[in-house]
Amino acid sequence: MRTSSIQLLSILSVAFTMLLGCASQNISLKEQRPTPRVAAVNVNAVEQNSFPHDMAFSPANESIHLVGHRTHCACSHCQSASSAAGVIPPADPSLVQMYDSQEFLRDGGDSGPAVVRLSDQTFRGLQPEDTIVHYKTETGHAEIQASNQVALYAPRFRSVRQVSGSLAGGRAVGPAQMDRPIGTVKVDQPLPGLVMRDSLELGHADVARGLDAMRERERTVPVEAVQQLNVASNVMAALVNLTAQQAYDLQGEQKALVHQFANAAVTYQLDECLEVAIQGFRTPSLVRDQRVDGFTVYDFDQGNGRLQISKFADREDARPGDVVTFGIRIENVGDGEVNEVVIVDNLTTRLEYIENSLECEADVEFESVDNQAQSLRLRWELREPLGVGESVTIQFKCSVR
Amino acid sequence: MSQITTLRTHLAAGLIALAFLGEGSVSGSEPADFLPRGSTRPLFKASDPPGVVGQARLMGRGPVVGYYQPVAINGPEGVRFSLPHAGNPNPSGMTAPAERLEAGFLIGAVYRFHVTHIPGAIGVELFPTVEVIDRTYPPQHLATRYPIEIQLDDEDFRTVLNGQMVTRVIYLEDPQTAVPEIQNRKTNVPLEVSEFQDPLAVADEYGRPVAIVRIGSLIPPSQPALLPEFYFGYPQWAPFPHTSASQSANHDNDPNELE
Repeated sequence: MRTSSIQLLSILSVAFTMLLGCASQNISLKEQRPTPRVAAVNVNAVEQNSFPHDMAFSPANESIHLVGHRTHCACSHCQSASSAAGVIPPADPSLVQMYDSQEFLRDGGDSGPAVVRLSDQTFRGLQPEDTIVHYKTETGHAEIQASNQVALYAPRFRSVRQVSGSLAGGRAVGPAQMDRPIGTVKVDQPLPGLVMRDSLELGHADVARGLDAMRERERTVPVEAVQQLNVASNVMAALVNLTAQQAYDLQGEQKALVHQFANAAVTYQLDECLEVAIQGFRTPSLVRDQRVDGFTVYDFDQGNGRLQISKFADREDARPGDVVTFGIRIENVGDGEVNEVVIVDNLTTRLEYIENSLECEADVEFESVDNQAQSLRLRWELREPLGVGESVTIQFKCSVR
Repeated sequence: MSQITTLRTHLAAGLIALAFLGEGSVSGSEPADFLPRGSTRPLFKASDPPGVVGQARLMGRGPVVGYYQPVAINGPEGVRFSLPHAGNPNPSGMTAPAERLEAGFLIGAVYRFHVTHIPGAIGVELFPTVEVIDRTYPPQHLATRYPIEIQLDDEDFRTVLNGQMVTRVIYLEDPQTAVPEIQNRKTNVPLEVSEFQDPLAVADEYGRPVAIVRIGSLIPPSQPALLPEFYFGYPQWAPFPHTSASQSANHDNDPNELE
């Protein structure tokens, strides 16, 4: 019995320590949760080139600026210093997500209209960038599945040139004369000043003004018609025999109840209350009443194959002239084999297929034809059915125009 | 006599009818009918003074204020480019001439750079300006790898040396309407527009304009006090990391200088 009580005490102490530990850990997590850092990088620029200070170069005033960044620096030194001074405001993470789709070269997917296959075994709705796989199941269903989209960061810049006459011998660099079509007679535009620098001053500020003073009127409102009681009776008559001492006298059974309620109140006010089972007493158990909110039935035809197509590239960015290796992987994730598997990749304008760069582990029939984007439409057809769990990977190379 | 009178009456009635018809056709057209169609920039043109279009972009959306947009300027073989130091009114404070000028430029500011070693024009110096009017949004760590590429060619310098002015509007090409050829020094030829077209509007139709380069024959003033005006106040710029050492060298101390 003594041993069991000692064990019980040890269990209690360990459990209480764990409970306190968990509680303190929660508190510390809440208190020490790192504030969104930053900031400077994410706020100031979409990209995060963090160059050390000694690489910045500004001989005139030793100010620090970074390529691809705004005026706030992103290094740890500046972050610690500025955060202590409270200079850099917290970042807006949404700015990091900004991008321009024109800077990316995309390939894959099925951009509308959806691709369909006609009875003459040709496809309609194939847009540039589309990559799809067509197959037939054992039950004769014809399916078309689009791949994911691969995006390469490959901005390309071109220019428009205009040659105009200019004044000779003067200081004007602008055109001497230009005839323009009919347009606006005069537009007031803010012309730049002689010296253009960064200005941190506020150009415009909306200030909400509050109350300067408030005078409160607390005087009572004069009552003109005061009504007096018509009949006055002695309402204290019922309390004649009741004394203050009687009100506080408790009987014996009432004392027990008050004591019980006081103990219950003390127990109720404890933050953590550990309850244990001692010698056959059952611990309070929580019975959770759960019910099903929704029920979705996925009905797959037994014996039908399903193809999963995924597309990938070996790099995330490319300059004009770079070679990118694309891969297309199809896998039968269904319950039956599929036939007439045809993979079509309609290359976009800036992708040029490199001849004889095709690598495929399966027996396929390959052909390439010109498409509407002045590139090629690549087509692979598997000569044999694709069994359950089997996969085929096709690799080919394209040069970025 | 009566026939002549009748003929004159009919002729007068016909002329009046023609006059009414003509009046009707003129009143049916609006002045706006003669304006160019499409997505144009009616308020801003490439012929605006340097800095106007870029300053207007600063009032637009996105994190453009204070962003140093990487820019790379290339020219024909042998041509050297240099850039005045930021905020330094010293006329000799130029970076070392390089065949490829790489720097981060503030959007809205106007930078005047120095061009030397022009083929066929030894000793001739040009001082074009570049104005970044928009930025790119590259993924992380790719900003300096993919700067705005400005490719100048012999035709630019030959035209300028003939006394004319060249305005180039650089635009980010829309991949949906891209030119289906590999871009290199030979194929990267500009789209020529006439003197009566706005190159900014034309560039806006094919992509997103990001920079304006103006090449004229203006030379620095002889008075040092006018140099800040000539260099547009020496706006701040940032070097690329891998070129900071070479660009920080002084123009006069460069051992590779040919002149």
